[in-house]
Amino acid sequence: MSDLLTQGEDILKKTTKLEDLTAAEIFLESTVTTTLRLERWQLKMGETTDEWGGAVRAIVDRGVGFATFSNVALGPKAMRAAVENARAAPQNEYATLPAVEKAPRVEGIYDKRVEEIDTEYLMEKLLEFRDGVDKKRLHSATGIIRAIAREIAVLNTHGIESSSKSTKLTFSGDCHAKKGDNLTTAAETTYSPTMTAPLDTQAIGERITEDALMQLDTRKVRSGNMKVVLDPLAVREIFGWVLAPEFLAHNVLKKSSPFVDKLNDKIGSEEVNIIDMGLSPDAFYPGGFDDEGYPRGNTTVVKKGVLKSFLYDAVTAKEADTPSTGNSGRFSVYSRRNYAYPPTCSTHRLTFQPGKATLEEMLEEVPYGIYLKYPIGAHSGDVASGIFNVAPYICFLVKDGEKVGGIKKFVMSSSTPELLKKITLAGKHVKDEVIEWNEQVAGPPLTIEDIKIVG
Amino acid sequence: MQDLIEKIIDNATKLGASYADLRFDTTQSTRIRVRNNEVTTFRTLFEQGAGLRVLVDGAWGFTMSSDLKKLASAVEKAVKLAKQSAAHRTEQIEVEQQRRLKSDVEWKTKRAHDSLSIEDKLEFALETNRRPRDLSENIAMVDNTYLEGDMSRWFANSEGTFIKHSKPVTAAIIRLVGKSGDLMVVRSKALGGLAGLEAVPYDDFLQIAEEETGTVLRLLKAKAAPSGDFQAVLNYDLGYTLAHEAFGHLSEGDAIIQGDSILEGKIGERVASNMVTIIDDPTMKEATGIPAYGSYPFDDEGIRAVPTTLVDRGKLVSYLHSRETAKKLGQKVTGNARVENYKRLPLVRMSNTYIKPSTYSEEELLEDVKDGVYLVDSRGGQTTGQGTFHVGVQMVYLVKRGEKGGLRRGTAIAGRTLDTLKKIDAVGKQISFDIGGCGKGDPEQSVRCGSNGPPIRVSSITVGG
Repeated sequence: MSDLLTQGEDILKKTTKLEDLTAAEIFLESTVTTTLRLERWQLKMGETTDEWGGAVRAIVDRGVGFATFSNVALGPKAMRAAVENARAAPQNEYATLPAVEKAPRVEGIYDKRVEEIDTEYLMEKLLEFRDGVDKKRLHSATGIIRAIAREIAVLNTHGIESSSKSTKLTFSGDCHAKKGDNLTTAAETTYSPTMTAPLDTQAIGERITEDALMQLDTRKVRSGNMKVVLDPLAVREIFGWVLAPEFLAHNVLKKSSPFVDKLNDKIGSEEVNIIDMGLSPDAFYPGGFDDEGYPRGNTTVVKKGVLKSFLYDAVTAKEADTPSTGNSGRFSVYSRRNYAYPPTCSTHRLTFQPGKATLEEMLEEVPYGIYLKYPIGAHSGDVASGIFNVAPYICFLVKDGEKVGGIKKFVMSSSTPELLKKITLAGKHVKDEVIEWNEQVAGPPLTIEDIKIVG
Repeated sequence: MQDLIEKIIDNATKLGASYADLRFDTTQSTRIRVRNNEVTTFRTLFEQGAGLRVLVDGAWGFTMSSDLKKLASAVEKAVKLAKQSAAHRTEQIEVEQQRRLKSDVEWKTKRAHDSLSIEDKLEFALETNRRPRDLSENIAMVDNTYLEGDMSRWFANSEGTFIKHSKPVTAAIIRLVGKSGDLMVVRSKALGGLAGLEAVPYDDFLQIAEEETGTVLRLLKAKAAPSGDFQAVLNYDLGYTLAHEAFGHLSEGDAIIQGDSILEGKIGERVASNMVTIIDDPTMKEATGIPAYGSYPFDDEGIRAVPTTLVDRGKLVSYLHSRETAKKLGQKVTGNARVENYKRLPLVRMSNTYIKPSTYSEEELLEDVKDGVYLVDSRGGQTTGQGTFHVGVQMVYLVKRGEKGGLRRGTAIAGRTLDTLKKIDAVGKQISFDIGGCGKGDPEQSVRCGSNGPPIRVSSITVGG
């Protein structure tokens, strides 16, 4: 039994001794991270962090209380607070904790070599990135590399007792080119759960150099409706912030999604196939069970444009009278997975399924339009209606199938229902981007027809 | 506890640190979130821990733990990591020297959090949720949160500084979703401050909930916002967002050092119209005497808080600094190093950043608008170092010949920051205060910022439609 499970068992035992308790759940999380940072060509810093935390969810009758603690000594206070909150809370007819179900084992998510990483290796990878970016032609470059070892344990009074370890190597690099007052940016991220496929940081450096330099030739885009090719980074931003929450049952049941009452309706084009790959080792937070201990699965959300399922945790499944899809997560907006947040519905790796086109082939079909690599503003989109507006951060004007320069100013206005219907082409390579907060989304490049651009 | 903290710092210097600092946090908070009458969060949080930063051979090392004894044993590793980084540097990081400081500051409450029962707070949250839905069937969703917390931070460094500071926070936030047929609109509002229960008078917030219900119902009857370039008046919240989001982030010293700001090398240059003076003030107080939401007495490097003028009548006069960025750029420390909590490293952050009020009343701002828009309340903003911004707008009024007319639904504004600041041709006289937050860094750190400022007028801005 892991140390975390032993600690959890002890806390659960003590919690169950508290008066009135109907059911209880303990969630423990331990994350050890080593980070190195490169700032403007120079190694700036090394960090080693050891985050530990726990949460108690208590049910008294049908009232639910929650409390969290950052070290074992604070555990007893949290237990009492959770139970007191549960006593005070109004009755919730759907209050529930999952019962034991066998969770599948997901291979390839833990590598001892990452947990015991030699910092010299991380240093080497960061320096390879520095070699890849072109110092002579660029203004600056920044890189962050991390080795993360994470363990979680979930226990409840219905017999769930699960723990899981995973590792991750992550890298994020960006660079800036400058000509007079014109400053441009290019960025890329990558990650791997194991050392089996090493991160090619040098190639990232080389690619983003070209992107930053090309944008120095800044163009204006005319206003009007046009074809837009979204890079996987833009897919993550727009669909992560606005679309993914619209498939989560807690929003659907609260009428806060444009897809309420649309199950089995055609909500997108034939090109739209979306699966939440809960069992993928490439999920940023991988594992066989969700954050309340229920088995995860791969859930088809949209098939050939038809809405097939929403994503449920135990409570929303009970309310909707349907089986849970194992989509409980502990997130808040702007937050990494964190023991401090109560479990709620979350995606694991909501994935747009790939098509057959290469990015070059997709761009070739754009007579005049935009290749949007990284937008800003998606976070202000409205989950209830799906309406959003974004502006460019890393973006190219496309003419006659070729990227011809960067674009700095426009507003792209649309909504997720509109976007899904106007997807005409999906690229053949799905790319996972580092996204530590809620609503994990991965996808290939996507071509969207006829989108409104105010230039 | 103080002995152990001093021992950890002492150990860091013995192991080779030329400078070391430590932040030790103790936080207790309660959060109640209600969505359509369902209490989805009823949380009490107990958080305690410390983060240690060391400067060794001209590079930084950092370690943290929720257990001080564990932290003591991790000092060596932080020093080793710093040394490894230093081996690959050609220039040494230094920090601006500061005098030793001892202080113990407690921001007191008028009405302590424990002066009211948890049942009463829960009932307030439930009533806030009920009232809009009772008023209209068109309110499809009410999502509201009540938050209260008490936080204490101890700061110590190898120069002998030791500061204890504790502050309370209380806030209430409401988000309303209106629905009519296929049309959905959203409106959000907040009330709160760095104080006890006095920061959120319950009746005042329930009145806000009712008023905003009316706004949602009007928005459901409104048409979509127009798109294109318009002369515009931005209300205080959008004026603040422009000052904070579009401009303020560009003035942060770490962005300058990283080469990720168009303000690099522009001290003394014109970056805005001469109507514009932008100030960051962590000592700011609201009219009630409650510290503005981004206020603090000392920053998280132990520097006493002072106001900093960033732009003086259109000219850039200062960046915001930590001790490191001030030293590197040869400027004065401004006391803007902040951390979200003990788990994170100090970054250069804003506090209460606002455009200094001028003399225009709202009527005067509007009267010179021939055919434009009045933009109301932000739905979040984002900026880029290359000087472009995007800000979501909650609602829009058309303005014809100085008269505020038809209401339109939400939209977005976007553009180039310096172009837009140069187009500000009038600044309002009435400053308003609100609560806000700001995210930055990797991992993202969220800190409280005051969403304060007057309304402003711009001669042209791109509206998204």
